[in-house]
Amino acid sequence: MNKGQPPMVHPPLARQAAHDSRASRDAMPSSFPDAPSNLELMQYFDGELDEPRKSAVAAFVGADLSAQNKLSGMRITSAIVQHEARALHVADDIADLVFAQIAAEKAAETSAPASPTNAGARVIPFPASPVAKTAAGLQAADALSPRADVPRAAGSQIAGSQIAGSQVAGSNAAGLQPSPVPGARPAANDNGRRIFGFAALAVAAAAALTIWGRLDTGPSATSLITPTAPVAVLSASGASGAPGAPGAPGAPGALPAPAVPGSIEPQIDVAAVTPDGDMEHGVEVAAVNFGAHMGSIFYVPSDSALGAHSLPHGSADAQRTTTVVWLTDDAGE
Amino acid sequence: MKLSHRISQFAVCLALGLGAQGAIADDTRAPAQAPAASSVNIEVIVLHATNDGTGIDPKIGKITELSKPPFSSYNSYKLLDRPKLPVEKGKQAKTKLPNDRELAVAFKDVIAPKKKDDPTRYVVSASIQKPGGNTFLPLLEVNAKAGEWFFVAGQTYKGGILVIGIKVLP
Repeated sequence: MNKGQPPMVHPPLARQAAHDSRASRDAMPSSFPDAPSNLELMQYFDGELDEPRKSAVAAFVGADLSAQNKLSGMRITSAIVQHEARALHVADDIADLVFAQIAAEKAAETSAPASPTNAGARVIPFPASPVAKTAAGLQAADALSPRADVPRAAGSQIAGSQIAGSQVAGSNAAGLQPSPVPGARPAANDNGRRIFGFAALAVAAAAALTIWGRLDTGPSATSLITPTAPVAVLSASGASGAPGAPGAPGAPGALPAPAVPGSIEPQIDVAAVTPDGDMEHGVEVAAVNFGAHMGSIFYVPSDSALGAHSLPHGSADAQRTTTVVWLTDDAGE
Repeated sequence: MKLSHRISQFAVCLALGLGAQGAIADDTRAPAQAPAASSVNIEVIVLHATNDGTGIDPKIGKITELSKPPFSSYNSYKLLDRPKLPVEKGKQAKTKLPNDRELAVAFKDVIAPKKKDDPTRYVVSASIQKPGGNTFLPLLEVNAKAGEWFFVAGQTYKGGILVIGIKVLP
């Protein structure tokens, strides 16, 4: 009856139990003096028993209820173990199976145009968790025909995993499904209060800006030119150097060559080249055109800024500077 | 009764608001009420900087910056000229330099102070023309406080350079 089935792998526990129960041969019914041992029952279940012993054991199993129960237990154990081994095998090859599935989908897309029915994303389920797989195996064993449910081909193994996976996914989905709770808080995207808060902040900011704008003493209408940060307009010159200054050539004519000869009046921020931009300049350079020469602008700290300790630090007098515009003169007199 | 109470509250608030507004307006307008100068005197000092070791000419007066960089690259300063040019607003005045070039200074505008403690600034421009018509310094425009020197240096002259100081005297 098990001839057509491949030999099955029994768990060590079952085999050990079979060896241990070798002595239980005496427990078999006395009407069958040659009652099969558990090992013979196992060999019979695996189809390894030869004639005429096989026929004798078959007759014994057909008449003895205990032997039938033992065979049923072997079937269940075999189904569980085989299912487990199959699931582990699928897990080992999961990457290959996924890529094979992707390749198969690509091939299908290239061969046939996409239709609305298969345009959506396809889910490739993963093997079930051990608990779910055990449960599936037990469910299959309850039918006492686990081998009929065990697929053999690789593709069928994927299908089996899909079934188990869908069971797990179904249980997860059922577990994650929100349940209505009476008196629960409102939805997290209820931003009504926040919007009102932001609106209030915006109104307050607008009011503050209006008051600040009124307090700011802007240039009066009598002044035609508003003082701005000093800006140097250079003609055919862009480099600056300090003759006599530390690290600079001693002669004024030895200013460094322009970085971009022939450049047309680039505008530079003089404050950027000033050593201390926080100092108050008694004379602010609004605009300068050096023409064909190179030039530099210096803000020389005054006496009070350098060494007058009697003046309070940070006062306007302590930060005074003198403005110097220095040009090179190649032509001379 | 309630209405009259509210009206009185509104009146008090209105009065306070108008008072604050008037104070703010007075504060902002106060610096702008300074009379704008229509003409200024521009003092020009022309110095000859050399390294001949003679030191700083006592006639120059107290200009301490001459002993600091970049002026300290020359150890001697001699006073060559010290003209004082009256200049009307929107016009310019010229003076001849020792190297035959011409210095033109113009009084362009007065900048009213932003705050009460800020000084009035004067928009002054300067340019130096060569005798042949070419320009040595096309434009230098500054916003200067009254009595503050600013210098234009670098023209080579007799083994040294010319240092020109300009100061606005309202």
